[in-house]
Amino acid sequence: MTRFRTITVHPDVSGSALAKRLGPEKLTGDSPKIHDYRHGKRNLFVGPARGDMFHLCASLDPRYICCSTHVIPHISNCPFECTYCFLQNYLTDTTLSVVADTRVILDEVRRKTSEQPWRLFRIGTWELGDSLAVPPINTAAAGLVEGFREMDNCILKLRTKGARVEPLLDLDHGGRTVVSWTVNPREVIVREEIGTASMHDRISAMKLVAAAGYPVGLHFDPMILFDGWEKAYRDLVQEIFSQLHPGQVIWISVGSLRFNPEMKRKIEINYPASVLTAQEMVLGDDNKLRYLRPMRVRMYRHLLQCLDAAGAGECFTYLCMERWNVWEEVFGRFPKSIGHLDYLMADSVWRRFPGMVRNRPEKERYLALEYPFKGIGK
Amino acid sequence: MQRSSLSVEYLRPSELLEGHQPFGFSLYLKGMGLWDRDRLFSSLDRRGMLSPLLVHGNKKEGTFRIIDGFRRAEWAVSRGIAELSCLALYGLEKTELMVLVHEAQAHVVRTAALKATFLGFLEGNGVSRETMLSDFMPLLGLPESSHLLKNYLRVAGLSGEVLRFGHEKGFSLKKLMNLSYYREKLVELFFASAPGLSLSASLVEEMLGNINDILRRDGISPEEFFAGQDVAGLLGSDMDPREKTRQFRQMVRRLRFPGLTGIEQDMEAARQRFLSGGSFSVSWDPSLENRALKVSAVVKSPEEFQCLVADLGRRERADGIRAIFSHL
Ligand code: SF4
Repeated sequence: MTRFRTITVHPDVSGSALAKRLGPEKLTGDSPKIHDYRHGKRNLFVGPARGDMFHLCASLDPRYICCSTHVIPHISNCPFECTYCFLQNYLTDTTLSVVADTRVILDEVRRKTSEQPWRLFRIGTWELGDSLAVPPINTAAAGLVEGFREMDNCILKLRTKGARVEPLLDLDHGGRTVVSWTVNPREVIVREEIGTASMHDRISAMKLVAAAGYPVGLHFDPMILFDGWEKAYRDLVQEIFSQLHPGQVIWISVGSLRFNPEMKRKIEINYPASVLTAQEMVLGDDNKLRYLRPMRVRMYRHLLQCLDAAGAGECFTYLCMERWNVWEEVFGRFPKSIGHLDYLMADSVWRRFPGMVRNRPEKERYLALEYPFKGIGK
Repeated sequence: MQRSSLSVEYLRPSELLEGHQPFGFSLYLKGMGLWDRDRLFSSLDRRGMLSPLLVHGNKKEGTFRIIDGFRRAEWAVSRGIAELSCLALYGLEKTELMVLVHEAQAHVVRTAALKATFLGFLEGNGVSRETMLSDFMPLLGLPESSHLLKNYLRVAGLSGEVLRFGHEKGFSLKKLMNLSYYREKLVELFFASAPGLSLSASLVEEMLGNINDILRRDGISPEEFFAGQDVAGLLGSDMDPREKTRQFRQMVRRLRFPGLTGIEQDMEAARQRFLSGGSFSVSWDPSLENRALKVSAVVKSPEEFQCLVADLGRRERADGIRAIFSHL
């Protein structure tokens, strides 16, 4: 197990399977509530579920065409150190925390998703951290994988920059879990994704989970500019698809570096050697700094070409946190609403991964879905 | 408990100004260029000294240190006055003496920059952080927060030139903190060019932020940036400060955002060529994120509306809209 400075287990979950697996040196008590971001990463807290755990992804915004993923934040903070990670400006208690009572989470998910049995829910655990970074986070994830086996209108999405997939390999997952990787060229991993697994190790792990029957998800997000980015992303795509068959990849998301202005200063203080924040980025009306739109479109088009050339054109590919006009420039078309994209994804899963979706998705029902706001800010 | 006492002494101003001045906060202000010496001296010339100097006496050593009255002492020296009447205090503790120093300057120490300077002065004179928190933060009208004190002390480390600018422009602590975050040399060189520029607080923030990003992106030093031909040429010119500021700001923005400013230029050229002089105006999202143009007009009569419609129907107007959309 990764060496944490302290491991604290809340008394309410001291009997949980996860707590029992931790070494004898663990403390009992509430979260130490660490405020220093880096320090928090080295101290583990295993606690109970607090409040509602199941909700829509917080990035959902009427200005973008969102994929309407749901999330269960059963982890908080992450042992890795990506320079661009939004957690450095988000968490107040930075203690690396894992929710131990998987059953409570599963009950809530079951209750809420059964209200719309016709719908395919994609549910991620990565909102506030890496789903599989290190033990015991990956063992906690394994508990969820088993719980999702019977939920036939849900897909559990695990997302990582690591390679610690061992606890998943022998599970009876029932084909209801997608294991996904955030991928980037070596240059980015070394400079900006500190402590994460190399691309070689990530790809080896992808092959292992694919062999164990899990569909694989790929996230080219955040794409980052640097000298030689075009070749680097082409090589990356080739490297992945020389090892993985496109038929094993359920979806691919694409996005580019973005952060809010307050984060800029945090990044510069925490990672003074990174020059990410000195790149040409503009502030949009969503309070996010991004590369200039024409540049982003160029990056996305380039990546799509690389995917096509690698034979991965059949994989369902979508943009993350982008507006309709960017979709149109990149794909030549755009989903009409967030519900429409939700439908397109469900339909793609239904066609490409038989058995994962119980019934053929009904477009009208998805189009009629209501979100906390109306339509797309077009 | 130590007992304090006081007496009236007649002391030589030149001797009082010699050596280390443990209560010389006023000299900090002088160093920052905040003494209006001529005005004060002419007022003293007219009216003479109306109040005695406040000094602290050390009976054992037989020495006296000014608490309040540095400017009067300097005036007296400059006018050849041999002795000054002083109110001498004995047996006070350091904290009490510093409270008196604050009292003497309380009318000036009102901005975040000078509060930081005062706290920095206390630290430099060995006043503990605990004492600053319990005794001086409330005196300065600040909450007793150690985090806040830490920030003020960080700001106190800025150069006198920067603190003076921050004081004169009424910078908030947050704005000063932003300045304290940049490389010292960058801030120093920027403010060295400030006298020839017409700067507001927000302009300073914007330009320093942009220059800092340029340095990081291009891997160059502040010295290299300011010595660059274009920058040095512009800053060294004897242009009107407002115009010089405008041009410098544009130059920095162009260097920081070459892609965006290039597109802006093309869009502006299209507007000038096809859409100027019209009865309507056209604007767009400057971040280029939204693909939309806002076309607006005000009409005061049906006739004006007819003219607007005719104007909108002109071929070059459509060409202009198309040209601008090609960038959106
Ligand atoms: S892997 Fe994700 S959560 Fe972890 S540091 Fe990187 S961006 Fe943050």
